[in-house]
Amino acid sequence: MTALPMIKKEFRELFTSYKILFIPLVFIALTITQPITMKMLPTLLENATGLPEGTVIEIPTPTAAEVLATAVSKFSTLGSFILIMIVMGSIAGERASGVASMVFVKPISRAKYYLAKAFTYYILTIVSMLIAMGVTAYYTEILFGDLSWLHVWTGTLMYIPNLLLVVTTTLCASSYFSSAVSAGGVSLVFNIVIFTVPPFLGTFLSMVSPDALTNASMAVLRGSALTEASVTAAPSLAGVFSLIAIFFFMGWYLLEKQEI
Amino acid sequence: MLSLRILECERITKSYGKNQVLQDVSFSIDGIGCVGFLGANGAGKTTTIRILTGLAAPTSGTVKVAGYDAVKDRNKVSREIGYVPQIPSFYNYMTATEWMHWVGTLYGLDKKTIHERTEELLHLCGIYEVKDRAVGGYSGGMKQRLAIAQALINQPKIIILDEPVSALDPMGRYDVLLLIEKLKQVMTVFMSTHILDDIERVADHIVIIRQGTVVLSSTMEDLRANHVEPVIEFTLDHQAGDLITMLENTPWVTEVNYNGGRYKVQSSDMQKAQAELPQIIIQSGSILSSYQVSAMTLEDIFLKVVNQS
Repeated sequence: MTALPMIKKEFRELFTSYKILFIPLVFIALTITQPITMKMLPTLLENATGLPEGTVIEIPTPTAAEVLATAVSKFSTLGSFILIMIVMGSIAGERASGVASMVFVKPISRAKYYLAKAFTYYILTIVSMLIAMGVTAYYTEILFGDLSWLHVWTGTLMYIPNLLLVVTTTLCASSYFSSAVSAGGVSLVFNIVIFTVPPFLGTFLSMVSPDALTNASMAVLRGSALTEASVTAAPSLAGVFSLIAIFFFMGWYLLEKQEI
Repeated sequence: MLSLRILECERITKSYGKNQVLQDVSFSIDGIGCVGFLGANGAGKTTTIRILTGLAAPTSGTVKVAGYDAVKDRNKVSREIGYVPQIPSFYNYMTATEWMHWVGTLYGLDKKTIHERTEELLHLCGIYEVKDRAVGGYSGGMKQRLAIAQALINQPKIIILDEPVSALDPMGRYDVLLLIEKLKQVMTVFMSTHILDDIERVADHIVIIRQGTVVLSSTMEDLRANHVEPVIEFTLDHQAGDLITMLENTPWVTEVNYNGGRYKVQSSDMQKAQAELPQIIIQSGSILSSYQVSAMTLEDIFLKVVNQS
């Protein structure tokens, strides 16, 4: 028995719950505010009240690439939080409602069930991110001038593993806890730690951390040479993919051992 | 009855930390028919069923379902069983037809078979008319019927039902028991309940569990032969003196029960009891209202077995 019926069911659920529409829209809303804010900033400051008379604020107009690079940083905070909210109930919720016990007595292994969940959320995340960055880059071009689309897509693809790590850790927590809120809470704390602490723990951990991948991705979006950026990003890519693999298998193992 | 060993539990224990829920549970079931799994609330019925279905693993002991180990061959076991939990849950956005089709694909059935089985089973379980409505809008009884229908799609050797009628109205209960009577002709029906009337009506084999231990496993035939003793039932118009103590001190009285104004007396010597009991009642100053000798009901046996152990 393949995991196909389970994957089909998961995708259908994305449609019936409107997640397939809602997530790309939220991601677009998240990133597109960056070029708008940057464009409006001088006007906003000009109209700001309470500044002493004669105050002069000079803000150099950022390049389109700089604007887009800062847009991606939104995913480190609000984007990750939204992903956690979406994924936290995927397994825990089904266990709590009792539907998992209806499914697990059927001839579908827990591994395939887990794989189907992970696959579906990975696809949703990747597609949503690509749409959001595509739309934002297009809008940034209109407001700030030309962009190198090769850099846009490379930088975006480089950042995606960080989001997949958020999905994987949340899924792992969801297969352990029977409460979606507990799973989400644990995943949130873990992701805050893993994204912020390693840079303070020495050169090696700093190089392989998700934060280093964010920086590398932003550097590419700003227009750094791709070869140079790839070399810088390699250790962090390896580190993030290792974490994804570790938490993927840990979640799978926890679900296998879980009593339903 | 066939001689296939369909269920075999050998010395199962189950602990959650220091709390031991099951202790040395052993029983085996052969062939087709209906097995009534009886026990009070908290006796360990649902835990045993979760182990039989592979949803939980025993702390020690072995469980075989249709010849397969329920822990090591979980996937093979799932092909041989149908399971109906106490409170069935579904993906609420699916209709009954969609759920049946989805479950059919999990069993690897072809589209034609799934379609035929779906039509047949939804008719059989009495929810054909609502088959295209989302399950989220179903009543508890309708969900229970759908749970039974979907548990049968793979034509299992054994169907395990956890308190299948407890959430149903009298008509629903009657229908489900009728369905169980049909199913037990072609497969093993393992049904947990604490409703003794239902067991008495449909079960061919009975397993009684008390505080995590099996205290009785017997065919209904053997049970009637070995446990069913005559019992004298009587009611009084007027009671004087401590009749219960008087009866308990009588040598041939083995048990006295008083419930809802009705006395039940079991005796080691029924002839003597029938001759002397009315005199004892009169001697106590009480006035008899009704008096009859009858057979023990399943409730009497259940109470006797549970109290003895």
